[in-house]
Amino acid sequence: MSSATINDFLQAITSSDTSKDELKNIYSSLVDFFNITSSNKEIKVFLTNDIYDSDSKLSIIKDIVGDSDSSMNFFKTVLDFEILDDLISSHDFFLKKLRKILDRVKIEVFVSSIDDDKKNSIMNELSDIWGSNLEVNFNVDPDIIGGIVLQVEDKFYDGSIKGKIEKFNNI
Amino acid sequence: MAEEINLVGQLKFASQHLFNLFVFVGILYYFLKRPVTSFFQSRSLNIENSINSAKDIIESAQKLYDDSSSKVSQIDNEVTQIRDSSNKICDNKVAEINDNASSMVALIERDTKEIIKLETKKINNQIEDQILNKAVELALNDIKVSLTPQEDVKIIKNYLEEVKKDVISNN
Repeated sequence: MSSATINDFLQAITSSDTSKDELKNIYSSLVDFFNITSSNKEIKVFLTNDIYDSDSKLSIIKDIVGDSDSSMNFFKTVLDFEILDDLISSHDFFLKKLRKILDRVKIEVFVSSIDDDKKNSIMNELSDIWGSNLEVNFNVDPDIIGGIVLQVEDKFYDGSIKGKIEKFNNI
Repeated sequence: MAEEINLVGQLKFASQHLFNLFVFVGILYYFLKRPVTSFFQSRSLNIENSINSAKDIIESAQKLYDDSSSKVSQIDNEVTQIRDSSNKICDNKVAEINDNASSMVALIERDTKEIIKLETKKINNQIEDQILNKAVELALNDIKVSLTPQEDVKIIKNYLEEVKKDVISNN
């Protein structure tokens, strides 16, 4: 099934009477689900293989995402439409769309070192810029030497010392 | 007396033989005059014919010689003309080849100078790049060693201020 169908499916669940809380619930379930399917190939193969029945797959999904009704209904519908494989392969697109609906911003932060004070300070600054509805992941990359690199959805901000020196070098 | 008789006898003998000789000569003259005359006339005619035919042959040979001489002379002239013409063409070609070679040499010289100039510039740029990269590497190592956590936080805060301004101006 194409991503257009996934898009149609996304529009269908967001235009229905699904509440924001339920969507948030579905979103967090999807994040957990995609984390597992990305890291565990055996589970991914099991869930995308047609020889296993939907009930067995739902049982596995329940173990991954918990027994929230809204999430399980979502996955049941996905299995009924047989688009789980497409959902997994286009998970970035799907999550991005859901984040947009939920007004949530995903930020990947890269710093040379991290401690709680620095993390809190950065979080405060990020909230000041993009609001409080953030999904922030901190990554430590000693190669950047100092400063910060941000990936805000599709946009990159390079404020690292390495990046500045490379920029200067390119000039 | 006896001797006189002997002399008369001898004269008689001699006159008889002389008479016989005249008779013999007369007979010979009578019988051989015509064939000998005819033979010599015929021989004279043959010789005359041979002389005439030899004259004709000489004349025709002379004519052939003259024709051949004329042709040889004509061929000599043509050969001279062809030689002159080929010398002229050869000279022109040599001049043309020399001109072309000179042009090519000038072109190659100009291109070579240009290539040397560009290669020199390229090598200079490469050397500059290498020096700059080395300087950047040293600077990064220096910064890595000397950068304190407080300075790092300050750099991050300053950059996030810039990002904030950027986001606000874009919105």
